[in-house]
Amino acid sequence: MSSQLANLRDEQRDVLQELMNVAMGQGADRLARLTETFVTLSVPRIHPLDVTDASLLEQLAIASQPAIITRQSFLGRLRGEVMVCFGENGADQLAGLMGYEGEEQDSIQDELMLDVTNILTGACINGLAQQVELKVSYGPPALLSRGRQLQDVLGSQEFRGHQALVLEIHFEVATHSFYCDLLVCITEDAVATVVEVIDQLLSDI
Amino acid sequence: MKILIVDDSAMSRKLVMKALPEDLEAVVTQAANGEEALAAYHAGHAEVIFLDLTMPVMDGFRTLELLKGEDANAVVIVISADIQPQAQQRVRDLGAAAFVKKPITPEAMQAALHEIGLI
Repeated sequence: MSSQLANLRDEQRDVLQELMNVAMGQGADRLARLTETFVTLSVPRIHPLDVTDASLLEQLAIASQPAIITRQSFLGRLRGEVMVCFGENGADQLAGLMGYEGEEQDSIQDELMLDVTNILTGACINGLAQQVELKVSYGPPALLSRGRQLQDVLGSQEFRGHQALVLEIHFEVATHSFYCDLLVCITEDAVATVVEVIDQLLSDI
Repeated sequence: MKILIVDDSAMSRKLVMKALPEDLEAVVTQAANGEEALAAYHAGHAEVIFLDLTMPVMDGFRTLELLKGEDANAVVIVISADIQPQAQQRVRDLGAAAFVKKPITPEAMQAALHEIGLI
């Protein structure tokens, strides 16, 4: 694979990882305020991948597990899709976390997952965009898939032409067994912008 | 002043160094996780510790707990992207002298050092 993301030097990757770390800290804060809990944030790890390369996707723990996957697009010089992968029982866990029970819990699940997608996407991409001084706008969040594996979803035609910053970031509310993982896909032509910004930051410090 | 900067990101460690006041006479040691930080502390390389929270091997919460358990007077300033109020309260409860959110700026560094009476 010859993508720019795959060929990042260690110091470029470190900068990108730290930019995402700051952005995801904001995401955890917003999720914590929504759920009135303390959210444990994992160390973010970034793997630049071609999302249509199945052998590379196999490196991801989340790729082969059935999941509920939501998506939200972002537009501007930084352009692409964020996908949030909830565990198979993620919808139940999230509704329980928010205090819903019984029939009410079933009817509210999709709405809650889309709310969380919107919160995490906004925090993640805004956090990144602010640090690199780019403006982005957003499409509405939507349910992408239920019960399919991530690698099957990403292998579909509509994601060809995207590269991925796979954020192996784990938001966890241990007391409620809730977790989700984030996947950020950016378009091929936005990659050059990201690399340019990273190099600028490196020269500034 | 012996300063220990603990962060798994090399860029973050550079930003902390860059944010230190220019007129501060400091000898800086760096560590990439809590275990390295404790080793550097035991080796006498730290009078003031700048500590990240989200790190591999040993996170900042555990590192802070161990440091303060060994030396209640250890001066630790937490610098983190984890800005949840509960995280900030937890590090205060564990004995951190100050909390600064990432990315650190010279102004925030100045305020933190002033808050704990180091400048």
